Amino acid sequence: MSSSSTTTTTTRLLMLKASDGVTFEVEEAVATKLGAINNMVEEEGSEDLICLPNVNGKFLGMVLEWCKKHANNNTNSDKGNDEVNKWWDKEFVMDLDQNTLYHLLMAADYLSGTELVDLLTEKVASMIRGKKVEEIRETFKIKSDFLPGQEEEIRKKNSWAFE
Amino acid sequence: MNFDSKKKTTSSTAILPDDVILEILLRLDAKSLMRFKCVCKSWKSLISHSVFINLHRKHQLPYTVFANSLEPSEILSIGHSKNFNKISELRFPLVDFKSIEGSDSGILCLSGDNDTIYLWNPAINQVRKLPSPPISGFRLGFGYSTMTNDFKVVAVELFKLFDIPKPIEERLIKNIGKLSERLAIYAYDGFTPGPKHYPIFQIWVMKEYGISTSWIKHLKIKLPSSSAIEDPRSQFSNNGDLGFTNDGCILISSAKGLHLYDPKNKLIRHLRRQTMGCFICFHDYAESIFQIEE
Repeated sequence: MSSSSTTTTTTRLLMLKASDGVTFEVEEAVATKLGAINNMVEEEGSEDLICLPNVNGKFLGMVLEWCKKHANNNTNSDKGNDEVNKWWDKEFVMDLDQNTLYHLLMAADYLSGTELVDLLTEKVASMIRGKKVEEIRETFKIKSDFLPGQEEEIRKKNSWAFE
Repeated sequence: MNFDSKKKTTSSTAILPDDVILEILLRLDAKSLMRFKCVCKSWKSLISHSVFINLHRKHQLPYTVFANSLEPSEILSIGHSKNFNKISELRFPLVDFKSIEGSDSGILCLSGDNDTIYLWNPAINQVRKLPSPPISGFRLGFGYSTMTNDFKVVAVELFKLFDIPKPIEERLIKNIGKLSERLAIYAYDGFTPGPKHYPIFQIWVMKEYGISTSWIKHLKIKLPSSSAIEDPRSQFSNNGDLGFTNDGCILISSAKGLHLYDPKNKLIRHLRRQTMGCFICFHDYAESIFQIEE
């Protein structure tokens, strides 16, 4: 917190506006868990309304829910916090369908929520571990751009990995 | 700050940006990555890139590898922290194998008969036989050089003599190794009194490399008497080694098998039964996708 601030004990509220116009009123301490918001607050200082044209309300809401939970858990100086956070993180990602997961991941990446990106990328990694190449192309909407024969050559070289 | 630099992603099927794909791939196991080289050209060049390979190894979980003294080609690996129950067997594909000389960045350096030296990456199934060194009767050093992005095997003929810590008798030294990047000595420190004699181990580390006066006693391990080990005195008198996990636990080989000792709560756990031979050559290990074939 800056030294010129006279409100160190009062919580400052920020207004975040998503691409679809939905707004969220969030405590500064919660929102600044996101690197991008933190930078904006530091750079622009007095600005209370922050527009986020690349995130829609649904996913911004979910990202903020995560930030709030972690900010709350971290204020209790309890040692079991890490465990609580881990348990809560597990719940948070458990039932996400692929599309929600991807949009959430993009929102977290765009907002530089490093810890949340870690959590979500780990979740995606756990979902694709052991999958077939064709399933990966389908999942990530990737078209093979190998010339005929090239793919077979890589497969042959690493044939054990396909067993 | 310009927030419009990235593409708008409002379509129903999300396409993840490259930096996110990178983060996901860094968290995958070696086998999946070798397979996913086939997905497309950009994935193949990403997975083959030395920067990616170096980043990937830093994301891998820590393990300890070790060998059985009677069946050295049976190399075992055990995960640290919460993975302690996961012991897997990594079978070295060649027969003439004597011991694990070193481990770095997912590559094991092994020695075989007649001074043969092998490099082995178990995670991607690659073995390379190195040309025999022109000298014999040497000790091997092995490591990854970040300067040259390559592995180096050093045959050591010249030795430097260090005094051992004063309170330790030479015959009680069980092993010499590395603990938190420092030279360490593991030695017996007698047995506990009572009806059952449990061994006491002591561990010394050299605070400043090469300075014999800088030896300090790091830890004393008294195996708890509740640890249901029958006849501990004879059990621990074999030639098994000690190993260290990155979270400060100690792996101990006895005539009955492998045990894990946690100095924090002074508890011992039995990890694997073994009545033939003992466990030797404990080394840190984490998977990597470094290529070692020519």
